[in-house]
This record gives sequence, structure tokens and C-alpha cells, in this order.
Amino acid sequence: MKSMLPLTGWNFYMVRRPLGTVLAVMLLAETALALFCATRPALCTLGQSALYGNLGGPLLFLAAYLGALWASLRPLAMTGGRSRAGCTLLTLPMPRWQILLAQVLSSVLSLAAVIACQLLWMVVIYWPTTAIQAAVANAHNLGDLVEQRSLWWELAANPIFNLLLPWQGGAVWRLPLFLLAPALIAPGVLLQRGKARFGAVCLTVAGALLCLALAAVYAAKQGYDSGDLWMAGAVCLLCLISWFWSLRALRRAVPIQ
Amino acid sequence: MKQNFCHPGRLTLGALAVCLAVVLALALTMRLCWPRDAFSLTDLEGDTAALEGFALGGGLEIDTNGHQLGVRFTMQDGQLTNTLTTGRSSALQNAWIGFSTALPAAQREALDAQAAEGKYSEWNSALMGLAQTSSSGIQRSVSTDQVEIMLTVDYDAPDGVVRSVRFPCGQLTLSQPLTFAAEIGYRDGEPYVRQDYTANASEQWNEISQTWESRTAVLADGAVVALNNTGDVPGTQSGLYLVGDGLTQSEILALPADATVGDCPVQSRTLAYGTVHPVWTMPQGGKLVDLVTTGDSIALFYLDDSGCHLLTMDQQGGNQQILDLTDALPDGNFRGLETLRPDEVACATEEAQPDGGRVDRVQVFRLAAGRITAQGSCLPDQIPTYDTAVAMSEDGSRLLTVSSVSDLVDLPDSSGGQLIWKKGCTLEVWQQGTGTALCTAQLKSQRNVAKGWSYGRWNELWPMGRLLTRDLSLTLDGINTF
Repeated sequence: MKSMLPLTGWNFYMVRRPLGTVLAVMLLAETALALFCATRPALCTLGQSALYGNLGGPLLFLAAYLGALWASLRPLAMTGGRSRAGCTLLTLPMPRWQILLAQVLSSVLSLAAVIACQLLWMVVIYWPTTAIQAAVANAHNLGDLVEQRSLWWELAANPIFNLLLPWQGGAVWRLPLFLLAPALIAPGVLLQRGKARFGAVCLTVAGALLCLALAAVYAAKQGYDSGDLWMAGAVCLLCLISWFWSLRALRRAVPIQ
Repeated sequence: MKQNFCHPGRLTLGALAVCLAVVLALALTMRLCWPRDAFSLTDLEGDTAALEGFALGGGLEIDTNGHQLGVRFTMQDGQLTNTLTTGRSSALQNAWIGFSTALPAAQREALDAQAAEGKYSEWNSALMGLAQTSSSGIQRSVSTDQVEIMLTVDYDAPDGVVRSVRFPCGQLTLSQPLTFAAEIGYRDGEPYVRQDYTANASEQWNEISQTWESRTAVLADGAVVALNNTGDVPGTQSGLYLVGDGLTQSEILALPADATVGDCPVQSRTLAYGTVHPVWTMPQGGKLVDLVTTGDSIALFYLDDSGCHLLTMDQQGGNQQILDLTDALPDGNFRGLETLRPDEVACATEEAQPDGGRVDRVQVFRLAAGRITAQGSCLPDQIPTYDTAVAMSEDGSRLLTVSSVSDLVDLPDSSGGQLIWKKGCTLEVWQQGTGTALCTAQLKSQRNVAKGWSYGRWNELWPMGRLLTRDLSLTLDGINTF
């Protein structure tokens, strides 16, 4: 464990620039979209949640989330490459499972950074969008429609905010699941070789679709019914399979001399 | 000494700390800073003691499918309390009714024998043309002006599943023949489409729908249907029917075939399922007004030649009682109203004044096991609308009316439409039998809610209508229309 945390730090250090680029693009694009929509007369009465949720915000976030995940796999890609899994990492004097865990933890941190930035953006964008919308609404004699719109209501009514931040208590497992599942499943794509890589890609796609379905169900219902929980179980199963499969690939891999 | 903040360890720990701080701070803020004054009782006028004995609840809820999140208010004896709500909301149970047409069972064989038949065969591609299957089938069609009308009642069962009951409600002779078409499709020699004779009755639908008037309401385990056979169709009597033992969609699909199309067995459109019990017969020439169920009773407001009436009974059809609503003008405003208590039903009627004018009266009836145990009335200033709810005090001496406060707002010029903007509700307590308001108050919500929009150029309205209506809803407990 002594070497694992520094390795996690180094992994995260290596991805800081691509991650920063992904975050900057996401925040700039979302800000441009929100400010543009706030200036449209037909949209000036909408709450921020509606502006964000229905006009492309979730898609931008999803793109940034996937981008951050891909960027966080950079250490594996740089040290493993196409032909041999983690060849340089394999020379490190530590158990192979710790190498994999360090990679998973650095991916989790990268994804958490995207979520934290998104949550902060939702708070910060409230003031400029509300001010612009109020000005546009007053110009069209619609001032009544934007009065008394508080930040709490804007956030509470935003299904994506509720999805990313389990502040209500119910189904709090979803945030760890959305952080851990991609970080556990995706490394297989770079660790496996040959035909196994195709299998890892399929596993990753299946995991991504299940996570998306879980997110969509939560955004629509603000909760889960018992019938939805099989998806969470399936994601956990995929995580377990991926972990042991990736570990097997790492253990079988031989460092280049 | 210069610190290197880009040291991997420091950078990672810093990022971790920032992420945790953001998540925890926002979660705590949302839990602690919810709007405790989301609802407020303002503009109190009159004797506020008149609010004692009344209770109502509701809230501003984020529109979701079955889960509740928002701020809830409860008002008990004039004291208002706001609470933060999360979790599952209790959905109201509902029942729905639908009419459909079918070939009359008695003439089915004869009509099937004379049906015109056409054949088809086709290739179906899948997986971008990599897989192909062949299918073939027959289509049979027949025209007739004699149709069987089937009534389907869907209701929310206590287990949360929608159950259906279907039964025939008479044969109708149409002015124009209706064409029914059936289809049997075969794939690899096995039938995979078994579509019984079905009609596209859109042109004749006015003729069919004007023949029956119907209302439905859900019971503890089943539903009650009020049917008014305005077209004097043979085979159905106007009255009340209790329906139950409904089937789920999968149970309906598993029912055995009871007819044939050509040689292929199919489930016919006249296949009845569930149980139906007539419990009351309506006088000729009557008119249904409203059908309501309470915890243990059924109430039907209806009109006939002798005036306006209220029929009550228990949920098994016993303890039947008919009350004449004296002074109610049959040609006036007569409709059912929502009630705040689950054991009460209410209606609005119109009465003639000595000076020749007319006045609206709100009447409330408390029911127990089908019997009226208390009743009261008042003469409110405003005509009660579809989102007016009423309640009666325990001793029947006062009535509370709750009406939503709405604004109609013009949307931006480009849309050309208008928006209904709900801002809360008006509470008024009336002295029994009079038009004297003992107390009035405004229950205001901090955040106004758009409930709908009037139609302008709809295509330009769609983003606003779609987005505003999915945002929040203002609800009153137990009431659908508020």
C-alpha cells in the first residue's frame, strides 16, 4: 500500500492537462449554451434546470465524463500501449493488484473532478442566467414569470443536479457506482490484447449503457423502483468480472526487458 | 521557500479535498437551506377562529414519476407548517373507461364466411440486410351496419397494477356500414399475427359515442361505472354497475381463443372478462353529472325530469338512498366538486332568486357506509370552478372552500399564446346555509407554477409548454385537478 498512493498521485498528475482541457471545454460550452438560451424571449421564463436539462447540458456533461475517463486511462496507454499491457508499470516493485487499484483510484478522482465542476457550475451560472432572463422577461412584460426564483428551487428542480448529488438521502449508492463502474470496467480495453480486447470493449459498452439507463431512470423518476435495481446489480457484476479479468491480464503480462 | 503545488501528491490530495468539499458543502446546503417559508398564510380577514377544525395539505412538488421531492405544507386549525419532503408519493387511484366496436358474436360465423380474403407475402430484412425472413398472411374484411359495442374499464388495483374488465353493452345499428378487417400472418408456416376483426370507426365515432354517457370511479378493489344509454340501444340498461376481478394485460393475452378467422383460432373482440354487477337502474331520460367514491361509499349526482338528485350507496351496492337537491335548477350549473375530506362528496348547483336572478350554491354531504350522516351548504361569491375543493366542519356549521389563484399571462409576441400561472389558493370559510364569509385568507406559494398554456401557434410554444409543465406542480392532497 505504501507505493500505491504515490502511484495514484502520479497517474493523476499525468492526466492533469488533458483533464483540465476537457473541463475547460465542457464549462465554456455549457456557459455559452446557457447564456445564449437565456437571451431568447421564448425561453426567458424557463428555470435553469429546464435550460440545462433540455437544451444539451446533459449531453455536454456526458461527453466530458467520457472524455475525462479516456484521459484518465492515459497512464495505461502511455506505459502499456497497443502491444503489451502496462509494460513499464509492470517493473514497479509492487503487487499487480495495487497497480490496477491505483489506476482505478486516479480514474475515480478524474471523474469526481468532472462532477464537482459540473455541480459548481450549476450554482455559479444561476446568477448570470437569472439576471439575463429577468431583463429579457421585463422587456416582454413577463416579469411576473421570473419573480421569486430562488437558487434552492433551481437546484432542487434540476434532475441532473439531483442525479449527481445524492442530497436527499435515497439511493446514495448511485454516486459511488457512477464513479467506480467506469473506472473499473474501462481499463480492460487497454489491458487486454487480441480477441480479448474486443470482449473488453463489449463489456465496457454494456456497462456504459447500463449506467446510462440507471441515470436516465433516476432523472425521470427522481428515484428507483425495485424493478430498476437489476441494472445496478448487473453493473456490479460487470465491475467484478472486469476487475478479475484485468488483473489476470496484468499478472500474465511480462515486462519488456 | 517556494512550494511546488504541482507535486503529484499535493495535486492529488488537493483535487480530492476540493471534490469532497464541493459535494459535502452542496449536499449540506440543500438539506439545511430549504425554503422554510415556501408557503405562507397571508391576508387573513375576519374571525380566524373559523379555520379551526379544518385540515388541508399539499405542496410544491417536482414533477416526477411516483417520487416526491419538494416542500410540503399542512394547515391544521389555521396553523401552517412547511416541511421538506423526499421519498415516494402516494399516487391517487384512478379508473378509465373506453368503448370499442366488434362484430356481433351471434352473426360472427356468417359474416366471417362471407368475408373477402386477400393474401400477401413479403421479405423482411434485419441486421442491415444480412438476415432475411419471409412471411405471408391473409387479410379478411367484411362490412356490416350491426356492431357490438364493448366497454372496457381499466382501474388501478390496490397492488398498483392496472386491471381491466370488458363486457358487452349492446348492439348498435349504424347509419353507414362499418368495415372490419382481420389479419393472420404466418412465419415459417406458424401464425405469428392473430388479429381479430377490427374496425377503424373514426367516421362513425360520433354516432357511437353519442349513444352512451359514462362516468367511472375506482373502488377499494374494482371500479364503479355509471352508464346512461342515451341512444336507447337494446341490451344495456342505464344505471350503476360494479366491476371487479379485472385481469392484467398478461392475463388477458393468456386467455384462450374463442373464435376463428378463416381456420385460425383467435381471441375475439367480444371476449368478455372480469365481473359486472348492476346495482341500480337509472330513470329514463336522465343525465349523469358526477360519480364519486369515498372510503366506503359511492355517490352519483344525476338529473332527471323531476330535478337534481344525489344517489348514495355503500361499495357493495347496499344502503341505497336518493336525495332530491331541492331548489336546484335542472337547467343551471350542476356539477360535482372536489372535497378535502375522504368521506365527503360535494356539488355546485344553481338556484333561482326571488328577484329573478340566479345564485350558485355549494352543497357538501358526509357519507358513512352509503348513508348521508351530515350535510351543509353555502352561497360563495365566486362561481366554483373545476379546481375548487370544499370541506365541512365536524359539526356541519361551517364550510371551507379552497380555490386556486391563477394568472393568465401573455407569452412573448413570437408565441402568441397565454400561460396559466398558479400562485397559491384562496381559503374562505362560510357560515352554513348562507353567503356570509366568516374568514378569508390567501395561501401563497413562494414559487409560482405554470399549469398549462392556452393554444397559440403551438409549434412555437412547444419548448415553453414542455419545459414549464415538467418543472414543478402545485398539489392539494387527494385532489387530481388542483
